Amino acid sequence: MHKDLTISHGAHDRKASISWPLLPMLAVLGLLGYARFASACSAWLADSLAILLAYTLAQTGLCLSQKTAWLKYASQRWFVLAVFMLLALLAGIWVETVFWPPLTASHSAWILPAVLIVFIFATILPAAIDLEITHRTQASLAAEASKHNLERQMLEAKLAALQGQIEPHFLFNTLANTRALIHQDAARAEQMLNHLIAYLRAAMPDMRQSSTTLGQELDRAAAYLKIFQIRLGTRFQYAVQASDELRSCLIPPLAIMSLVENAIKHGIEPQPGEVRIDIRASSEAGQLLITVSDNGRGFQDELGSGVGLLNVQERLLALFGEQAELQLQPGDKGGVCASISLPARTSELA
Amino acid sequence: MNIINPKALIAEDEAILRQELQDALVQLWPELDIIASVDDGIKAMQTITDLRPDIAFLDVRMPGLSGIDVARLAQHPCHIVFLTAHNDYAVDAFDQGAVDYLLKPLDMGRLALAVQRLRQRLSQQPADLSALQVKKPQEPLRWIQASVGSQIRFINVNDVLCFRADSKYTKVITAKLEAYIRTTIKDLAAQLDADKFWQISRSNIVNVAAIDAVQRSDGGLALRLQTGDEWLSVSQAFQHQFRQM
Repeated sequence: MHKDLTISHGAHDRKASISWPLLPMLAVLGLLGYARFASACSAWLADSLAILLAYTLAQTGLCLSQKTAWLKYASQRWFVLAVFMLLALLAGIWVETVFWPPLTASHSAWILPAVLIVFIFATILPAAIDLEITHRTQASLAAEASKHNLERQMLEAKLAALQGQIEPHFLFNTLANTRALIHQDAARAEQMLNHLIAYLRAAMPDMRQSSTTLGQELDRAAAYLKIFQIRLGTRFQYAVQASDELRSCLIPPLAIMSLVENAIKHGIEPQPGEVRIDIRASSEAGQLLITVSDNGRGFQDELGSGVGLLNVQERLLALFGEQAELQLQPGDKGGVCASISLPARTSELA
Repeated sequence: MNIINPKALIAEDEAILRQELQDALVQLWPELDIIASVDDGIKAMQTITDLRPDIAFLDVRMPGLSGIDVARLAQHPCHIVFLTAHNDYAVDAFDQGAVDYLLKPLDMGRLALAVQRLRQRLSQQPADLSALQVKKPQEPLRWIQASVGSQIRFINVNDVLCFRADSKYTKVITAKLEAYIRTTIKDLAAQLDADKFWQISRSNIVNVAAIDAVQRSDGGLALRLQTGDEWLSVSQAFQHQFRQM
């Protein structure tokens, strides 16, 4: 009866599947009390006690092995269960010899252990196996889920990067400028087109790659900034500084572009008058530090729904964990200073 | 009231585009008197006040003030045509009967149509745009810039365990840090994803994923977050969220 309950529950909910062996323990105590009180020694009493005690111990083993958190491995759980089943067997035999001494004379000595073993195995083993299977399924499901989660995040980041790559405002404004320049200044129109081509070429990166070099990313940012220099005229200046040996460092694609686009959109474009952007890359103690600083409008809103920078932060976290960081600070001369710090590596990132 | 030589203002921050529009207007509407071409929103405001044009061509994205702000705040009513590079939310928000808008790069046929409409409307009173508002698309909040000392930290909203009112500020509590923002709990509640963040009292909004335990106490409800030992009480008005569970 008890066993049936155990198994039928086990299929639905592991936590509810094993009950602490209180009921058989109470029965054992009751029978012991009765035996003591009535000073009775009989075959039925000894048999009942032996079976109930063995069952109590075996069920206790099952509970201890499955319900406690400190047994992490299946081998540990099976070991605890085996020890308790052995204990159950010995205790059963012991009880029988104490309460029904004629056992050795009347029963064949092998019958009792055999009956006990069959009983214990029949009641405890199916439950144990069932629980163990549930355990493993859950563990592998959880592992699968976390793997899928990571893959999904990477895909989402890539998708967001792809979607956010060419901002329509940027593209149409640049095209509008180029067309107007054809009439106003054909040579500059050609320059503009060349920069746009350089930018677009780099804006269609191979998304199978998880990294590009700092040099490639800086060239792309420079093409983008040259376009703005034509569009905004003399009021806008920029500078890119990085030593040649750092240019081969690997960085996640679009990370610098996100910072630059952010600086243009929220810092430079809304700010009247002279504006500039400085991109610098340096290394210290194995960390590559890239800063994008502007003297634009600075922080205005503290809440945002944009994906650009969040996306950079999530990709850095996925690739480097605690070793990488994105920081935004108010700039020395107003504006914003955005920086990415990540391990300086020239071989594969992930 | 019929204006023979209407006065126009062009406000566009990019010189090349400003020149292009000016050239096109000279061609399409020779009687139009372009009294000023300016490169930012503040100058546009000033010019509208000082020179009282009949028509203003306003770029939506401009330094200083956006074209929409200029139209809304202008002291002198004039017919407005907005210029924008992308048919975005700013354009959707307009009552298209009141104003016109042009997409960049300019289409000359479309510009001619705008000119024709303006000629017809010049005899009428310009639309009152003081109530013009940009409807921002309702996207839930994704990140927060908060100050920690002199630094601005960039916090992913999913990392926030709890927002707590703290005198004039709101404290943003994550597993790693505590930071302050000026946005009030009430304003935050309106912007956060209502499935992920629940307001539990006038001073607390919690991340649902960070709730460790909820218990009844003295007829009320209290909850504890995963990282703390502290029990936060759930005010009567906000308890309904927990009953659905």
